[in-house]
Amino acid sequence: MIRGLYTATSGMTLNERMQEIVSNNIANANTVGYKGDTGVIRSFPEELLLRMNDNKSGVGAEKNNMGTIGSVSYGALLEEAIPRFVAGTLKASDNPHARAIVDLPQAEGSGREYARSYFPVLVGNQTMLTRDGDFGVQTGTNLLITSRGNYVLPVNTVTGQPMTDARIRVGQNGAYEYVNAAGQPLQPNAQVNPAQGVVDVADSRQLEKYGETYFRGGQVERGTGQMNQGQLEQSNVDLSASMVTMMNVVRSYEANQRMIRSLDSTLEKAVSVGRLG
Amino acid sequence: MRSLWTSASGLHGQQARLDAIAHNMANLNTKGYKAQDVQFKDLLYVEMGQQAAVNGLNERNTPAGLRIGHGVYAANVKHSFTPGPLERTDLKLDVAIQGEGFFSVGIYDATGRTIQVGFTRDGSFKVGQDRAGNHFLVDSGGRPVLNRQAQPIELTGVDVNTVKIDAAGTISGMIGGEMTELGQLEVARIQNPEANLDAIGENLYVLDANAGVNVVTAGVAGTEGTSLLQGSLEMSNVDMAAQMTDMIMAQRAYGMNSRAIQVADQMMGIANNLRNG
Repeated sequence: MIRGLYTATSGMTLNERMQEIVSNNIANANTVGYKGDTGVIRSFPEELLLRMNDNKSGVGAEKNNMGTIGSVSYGALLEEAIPRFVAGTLKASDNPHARAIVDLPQAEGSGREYARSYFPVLVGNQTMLTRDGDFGVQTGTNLLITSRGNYVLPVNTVTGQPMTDARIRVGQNGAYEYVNAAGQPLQPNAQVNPAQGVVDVADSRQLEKYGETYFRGGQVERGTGQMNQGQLEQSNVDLSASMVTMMNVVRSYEANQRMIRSLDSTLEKAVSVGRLG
Repeated sequence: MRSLWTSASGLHGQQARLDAIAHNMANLNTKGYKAQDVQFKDLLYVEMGQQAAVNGLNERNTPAGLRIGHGVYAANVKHSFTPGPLERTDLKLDVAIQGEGFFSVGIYDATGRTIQVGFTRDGSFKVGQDRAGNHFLVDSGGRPVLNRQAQPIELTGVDVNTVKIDAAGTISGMIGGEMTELGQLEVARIQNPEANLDAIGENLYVLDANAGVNVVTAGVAGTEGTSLLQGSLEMSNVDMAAQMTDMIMAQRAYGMNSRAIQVADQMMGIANNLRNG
């Protein structure tokens, strides 16, 4: 019975976590390039209950001198938050540097169902990936940056990899030039052919959210997605589904609380059994 | 309960967006006004430790750990420098810029000294008078409009009804019955104005302190891509329908965030009632 208290508590804790995930989704309902998270709940591992010193009944009882009662699980936890990589709706933007990615459709069963394209950006000295194409121009240097101020990296069209030592400079007429970190123009040759582009991640679920709509980790490969100029990919958060999840969360939380209260009152009875007078 | 703060950040972000929309709507009829928009980013993710997988239950879809975000913040306010529609006014001193470029006006301090050059797309010019009784071409805020030599354009003795402004900005008018050239309006083209200009109000922009040295190209009136049109004015580039839809979106998202706060509050209430008496 005491176990039941902890089981119900684990239910309350997981619903708190779930509520945190849902409210983060709702807060980012208008964040360009945001991918909503889905919480995945897992039950604690099943444990086998045994009766000691009783071999009269149950499966495998003779062998161990123990009777089997059955398996039981002691609660649940919020195992992981998986971002939904479904594309958000595209919206026209009057930002001349706005880009939206349209992914190459992947066949079911091809093993690339979660292959998506991303813009490479430089955060500190780390290459991160983003779907937010609401780019701007850095004051002074005229380099292409994200709305957070990180450099957008060009992609080497020969190797298909992002070029961490190159930048994109916006010229007077709005055309893109490719320069190195010191601002000197890059000379395209057989090994280097920079272009503003995207890179692919074969299994986007291996990416970790960093914040600022950036993702990190994951193996990048040659990009297959298409860039639409003058459009922005909106957040893919489904507000009505979030509302339903919240209602679900609060009721499940309440039910767990009721369980604790009823266990508590049962325990109280047990305490009063031994009371004198 | 982290979700309370997450939702509060959502409320704050949507409030910033509504403020920007309200500002745009208020300037629906401001000549030469450029619309602004708020760009959002999601806040950093906290990674929670997760117990190691037990009994081979390791079928996760994402890398180890549970990453939960902290909400949203307004990363940037961006001005859109797309041209507004031109409106015919038939006033002799109204000038619109077709294409890129900005008029230059002198910003004066209290002693009458020019301290800064301001840039504006608002060409509703007037005749102003200084303390000595000389007349000058001024903008709607009373600041002198500058010519190619960065000097005010004097209109003393000019019959305003005869003023002619050609596509290159050359102003001529009758002085004592004789057509006289009065100077050429300075129109400067600014590279990436959304990054290199700062709005200071009254339709004026000044060069950002960090702007590069060669972002301003002086004297572009009459060159390719820029010509002046007398008797017309550039209206605000605010798109009423787009602002209305954005407002509805922001308002709904605001409402959802406040619902998320209510749910979090309800959950805390439930936790508070775990034990009664």
